Amino acid sequence: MIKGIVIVNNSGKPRLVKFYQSVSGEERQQSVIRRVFQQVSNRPDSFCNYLEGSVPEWGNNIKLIYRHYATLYFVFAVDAQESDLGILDLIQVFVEALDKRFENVCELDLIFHSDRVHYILDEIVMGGMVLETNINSILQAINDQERMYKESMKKAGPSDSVDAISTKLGAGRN
Amino acid sequence: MSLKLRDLIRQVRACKTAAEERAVIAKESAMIRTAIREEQEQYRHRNVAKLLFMHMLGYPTHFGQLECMKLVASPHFPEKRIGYLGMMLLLSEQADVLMLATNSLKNDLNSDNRFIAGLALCAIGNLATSDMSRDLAPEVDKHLGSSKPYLRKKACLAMARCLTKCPEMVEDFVDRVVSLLNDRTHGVLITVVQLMTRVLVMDREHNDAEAMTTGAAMTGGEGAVDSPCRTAFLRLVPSLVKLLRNLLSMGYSPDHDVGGISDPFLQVQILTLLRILGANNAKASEEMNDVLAQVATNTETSKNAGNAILYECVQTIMAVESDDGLRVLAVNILGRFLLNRDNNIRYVALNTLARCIAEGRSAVDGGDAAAASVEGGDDAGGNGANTAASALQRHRTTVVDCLRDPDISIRQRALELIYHLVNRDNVEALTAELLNYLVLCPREHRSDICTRVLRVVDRYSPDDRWRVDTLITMLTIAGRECNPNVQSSTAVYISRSSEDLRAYSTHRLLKALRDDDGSQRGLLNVGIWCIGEYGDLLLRSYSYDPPVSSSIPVGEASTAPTTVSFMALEPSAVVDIVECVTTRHTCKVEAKQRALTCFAKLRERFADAADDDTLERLQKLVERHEGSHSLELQLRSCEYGALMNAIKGVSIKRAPVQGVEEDIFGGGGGGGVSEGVSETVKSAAKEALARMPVVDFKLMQRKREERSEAMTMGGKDPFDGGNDAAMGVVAPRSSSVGGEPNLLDLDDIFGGEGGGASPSVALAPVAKQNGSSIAAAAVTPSDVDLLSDIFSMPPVAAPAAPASAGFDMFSQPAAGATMAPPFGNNYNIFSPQPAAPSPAASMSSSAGVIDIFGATAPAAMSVAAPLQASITPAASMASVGSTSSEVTVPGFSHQGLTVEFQCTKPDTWNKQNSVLIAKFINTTDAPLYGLHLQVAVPKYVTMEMKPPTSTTVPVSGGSSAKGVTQTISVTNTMLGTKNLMLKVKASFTSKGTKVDHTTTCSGFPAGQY
Repeated sequence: MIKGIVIVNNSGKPRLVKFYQSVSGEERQQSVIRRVFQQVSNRPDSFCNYLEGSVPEWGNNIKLIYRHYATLYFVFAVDAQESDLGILDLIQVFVEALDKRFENVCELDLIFHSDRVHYILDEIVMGGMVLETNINSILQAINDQERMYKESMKKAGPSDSVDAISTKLGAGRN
Repeated sequence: MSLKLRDLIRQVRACKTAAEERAVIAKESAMIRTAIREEQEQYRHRNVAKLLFMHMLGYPTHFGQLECMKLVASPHFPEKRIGYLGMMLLLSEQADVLMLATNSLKNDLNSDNRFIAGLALCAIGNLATSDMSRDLAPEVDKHLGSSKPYLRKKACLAMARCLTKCPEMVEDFVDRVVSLLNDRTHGVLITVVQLMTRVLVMDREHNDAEAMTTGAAMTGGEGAVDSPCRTAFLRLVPSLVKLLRNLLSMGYSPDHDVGGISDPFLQVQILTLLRILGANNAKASEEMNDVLAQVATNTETSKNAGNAILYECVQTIMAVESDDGLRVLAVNILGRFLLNRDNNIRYVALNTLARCIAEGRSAVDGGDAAAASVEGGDDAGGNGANTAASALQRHRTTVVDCLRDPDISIRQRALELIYHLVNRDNVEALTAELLNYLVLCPREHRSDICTRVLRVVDRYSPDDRWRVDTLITMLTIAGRECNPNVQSSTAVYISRSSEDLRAYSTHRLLKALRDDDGSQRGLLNVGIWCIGEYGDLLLRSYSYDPPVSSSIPVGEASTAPTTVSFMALEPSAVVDIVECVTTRHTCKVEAKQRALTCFAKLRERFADAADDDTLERLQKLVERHEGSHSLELQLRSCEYGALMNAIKGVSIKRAPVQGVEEDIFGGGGGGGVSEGVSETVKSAAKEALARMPVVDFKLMQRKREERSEAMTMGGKDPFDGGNDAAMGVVAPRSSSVGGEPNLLDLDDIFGGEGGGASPSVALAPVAKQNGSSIAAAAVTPSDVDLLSDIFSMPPVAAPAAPASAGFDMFSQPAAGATMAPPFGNNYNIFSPQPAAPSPAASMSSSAGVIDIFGATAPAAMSVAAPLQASITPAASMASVGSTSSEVTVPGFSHQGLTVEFQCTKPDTWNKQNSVLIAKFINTTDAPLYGLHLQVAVPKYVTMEMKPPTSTTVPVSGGSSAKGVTQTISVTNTMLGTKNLMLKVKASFTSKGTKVDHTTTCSGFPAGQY
C-alpha cells in the first residue's frame, strides 16, 4: 500500500501532500514532510531511488521511493507489499499526466493549481492503491470533469455576479 | 474582505521571513473565520481552497472542517468537488465531523452523474470509517456492477477500504470478484487484483494475530485451515494465470503499452497476488509454475517496465513453492540485475537476494516448528534456500564489487548480503573484502561492521592464527570506532591461544602501536594489555613459516607464503614504545590505566632480562601517577607501587615499627616481621603480577594435556594460577590474583567503569573519608594515620594472616569476588556477581573506619581487631586456627553431600558474632554440580552469606585440601538465652539427577553460639 505521497521542492517547501495512512495534526504532518525531505535531499541524482528511511508516523518498514525532476522531488512512501520498480513507473505516469494536463508542467503550476494536481492524483491513486495507469483514461476523466466544472460555472455565473453585487451592497450597508 | 486564493499564494511567496509568512496567514485565517461565522456562502468555495493551501504549509485549519461538509452537500459540481477535496485533506478518519458526511455520501453515490458518484467513491476509498463502511457498502457494491468502467474500478478500491475496516463483510463479497475478473477493462482488472491482494493480506495478518493469541499452537501441517475467502481465491488461480498469459501473448495495444510491454502494472499486480496465493500452497504453486517460467524467460529487459515485471516474478518464484530449476533461474536473473548499470535495478537485486537467503536461513534454522506448518515446505524451503545460496555464490564477485559503489544504499545492501554469503570456504576472501571496505566506509558505520566481522570471525574462522590476525588488522583500521567487546574478544582470543601465537600477536601489536598515531583507541587498549601480559615474549625473536600446503593454488607461486618474522626487542625499546604512546596528550585515561598495569607487569616480566636502569624507569613510570587527579590511576599507582616494593622486599625495611601498628597486628598474629614471611609476600606479589589466568575449562584441559606431554613450563605457567582458581580453593593465590580483579574479568577487561572496576568503586567511600591520606599513604608509610596504614601496610599485615592476606586489604571486595562465581562459563566469570557483595564489604570497612575516628572509639588497641575483622573476614578466616577455638558442627549428610560447619569467633570482644564456614564434602565417586546452599535463621539472628568458593564439589578423596567452602557470618543478638539454629536448603546435581534437601541444624554448642 502507498502510505503517502509528498512533492517537495529543492528547498524543502511542500508542493503536494497526500496521506493515505492518515497522520493527524498539522505538526506531525509537517514533521513527516521534513523527515522525508531531509532523507531524500541528501542524495545525489546518480544514486538509486530507494531509501529505507524510517517514518515513525507510518511504521517501520517504510520505503521511500522517489524521483527528482528539476526542482521537485516526487516521493512515494510505500510498504513492503508494493513493487519497488513498479512504483517508479507509477511516478512516471503521474508526472506525464501532469505534464499533459498543464502543458510543460513547472513548479508554479503546482503552486497555483494544487487543487487540480490533487484531482489528477485522485484519478491515479485512491486509498493507497493504484486506480488507473493508462494516461489516456486519466486525462479523459480529468477533461470531462473540467468540462462539467465550466458548464456549471457558466450556469452559476450570473448568480455569482449577483452575489458579488449583493456583498458590495452589504458592505455599503455596514 | 478576504483575499483570492491566487493573491494569498502571491503574498505568502513574497514573504521574506517565516515571521512575515505567519503574519499573513494569521490575518487570512482570521478573515476566513469571520466569513465562516457570517455564513458567507458565496466565498465558501474560495475559503476552503485557501485553507487547503494553508494546511499544506502546516497551519491549523480545523475550523474549516464543517465548511467542507457544507460544500459536499451543495448541488453544484464545482463546490462539491472542492468540498470532497477539502474533506479528504483536512479531515482525518478520526474526526467526528466525518459522521455527518455519511448521508451526503449516500446521496452522491446514487447520483446519475458518474463524476459525482466517483467523488463519493473516492472519498470512501480514502477515509471511510468502519461505521461508514458498514452503512455504505451496499451502495458501493451496486457500483461494482455498474455499466461504467470508471465507476467499477473506483468501487473496487472503495470496497477494499470498506473490507479493511469491516473484515467480517469479506465473505459477502467474495462471489462478486469472480465476475469482475472477467472484466475487459485493465483499470478494473488492476483494481480487482489489488482488492484481492488486500483481502488476503488482511486475512494473513488476522491469522497471525490469532496464532499469537492461541499460543501458536497451530503448527501442525494440516492444522492451518485456509479461510473461506482464501479458498475461494485459490480457485481463481487458473483464471489469474490465464489473464497473465493473455497479457504476455497480447500484441501491441496502444492503450496499455509501456515501453513495448503491455500493461506492466497489471502484470506486476497479478504476480504479487500469485505470490500471496502460492505461498505455502503446493497446488496453487504448481498451477502457476509454467506461467512464471514464461514471464521469467520472455520478458524484455531493456526498459524499467520489463525489469519491474521480472523483479516481481523473481520474488514470486522465491516465495512460492516453485521447483529448483525455476529458483536457479530466478537467482540468475537477479545476478544479471547485479550487472545492470542502473542503480535501482542493482539495489532491488541485492535487496531481494539478501531477503531470500535470510528467509531460507531462518526457515532452516527455525527447525520443525516453522517448517512443519508448511505442508511439505520442509524440504522446499530448505532446498530452495540452498540452491539460492549456492547459485548466489557464483555472483559473489559481483556483490563484492557493489561494495565499491558510491551509493550508500547499494553498499549497505551489498554488505548485508555478504554477511549472509560467508561460509567456511570463503571466509578468508570475504573477510579481506570486508576489511577493505572498512577502510573506505563512513566512520559511523565502522562500529557496526566491526561487530559483524567479529561475529563472522567467531563463527567461521579456519584457525586461531587467522582469527587473531584478522582481529588485529581490524583494530589497526578501526580501533577508534570499534565496540569495546571487539577489543575484549581480541584480548580473550589472544590469551586463549598458544604461546607461539601470543608471541606473534604481541609482536604485531607492538609494531602496530609504534606505527599508529595513537588515535586508534581499541588498538591501544588491546596492544598495551598484551604487551603487559606477554612482554617477556617480545624479548625473543619470532618467525613463522606459513604452511605451503595451504589452499593457495600453485599458479600463484609468486605470492608464495613468506616467512613472518619479528626481531627480538630490547626491554628498554619496549618500554620506550609504550611510554611514547601513553604520554601523548591525546591519550585517554582508559589507555593510561592499562599502561600502568602494563608497566607494573613489565617490571616483573623483565626482572631477569633488563638492566637496572630500565627496571628503575618502570618503577618510576608506575609511581608517576601517585599524585594523579584520576582516582583510579592514583589508586592503581599506589597499589602497584606497593606490590613492586613487596617483590623487592623493600617495604619491610620501610615498614615502621611503631606502637600502634605493632599492637594491631601483633594482637592478630603474634609473630614478628621475619624473613620467611616476606618470602611468601614476595611470591604472592609476583603472583599478583603474573599472567592473567585463562579460565576456560576446555582450554585448561587441553593445556594440561599438552603440558603433561611437554613438561616444559615452569612454575610461572599462567595456567597454574588459573587451575587453582578454577578448582575453587580459597587459596591465598587466587585471592592475591584478585588484587587486580579487572584483569581477571576477562569479559570486562576493558570495561573500565563497569562492574569489573570493583576496587575503585568499593574503595571510593574510604577515599572520600580521607582523600589526602591515600596519596600520602604510599609515599610516607610511617604515618600514624590508621587509614593510610590500611593501604601501605600489606607487607606488615602479612604476618598476621598467612601469605597474601596483606593484599586482601587492597582488594577486600575482590577477595569475596574471586570466591564467588561458578566456574562453568568461559569468560563471564568474574563480572556480574562481585558487584553485589563488594559494595557491602566496602561499606562495612568504611563504617569501621568511621568508628575508629568517632568519639566512641576506645583505645586504638581495641579498635584494631574489629577493624581487621570487618575488613578481612576472608583473611582472618584463614588464620583463625591460631586465634580462637574452633568447633566443628555436623550439618547434614544427604545423597553423597556432607556439610559441616566450622564455627569460629572472629571477634574476641563481641561474642555475638560468629563465622561459620560450611565445608562441602562429596562422598560419591563423581563431582557434584550446581551446588546451591540456602540458609534461613530465626529473627534474633542476623546473617550474611558469601557465595561458595565453587558450585562444583569435586570428589573429596586424598587431596582434601581442595574442598569447597562457603562462609556465613552470623550475629546472635540473644546470645546466652537462645541458641543459633539454621534451616538449610541445599540443592545440587549428582550424576545428572537434581537433588534438593532441606534440614535444620541446631547442634551448635549451647550458650556459645
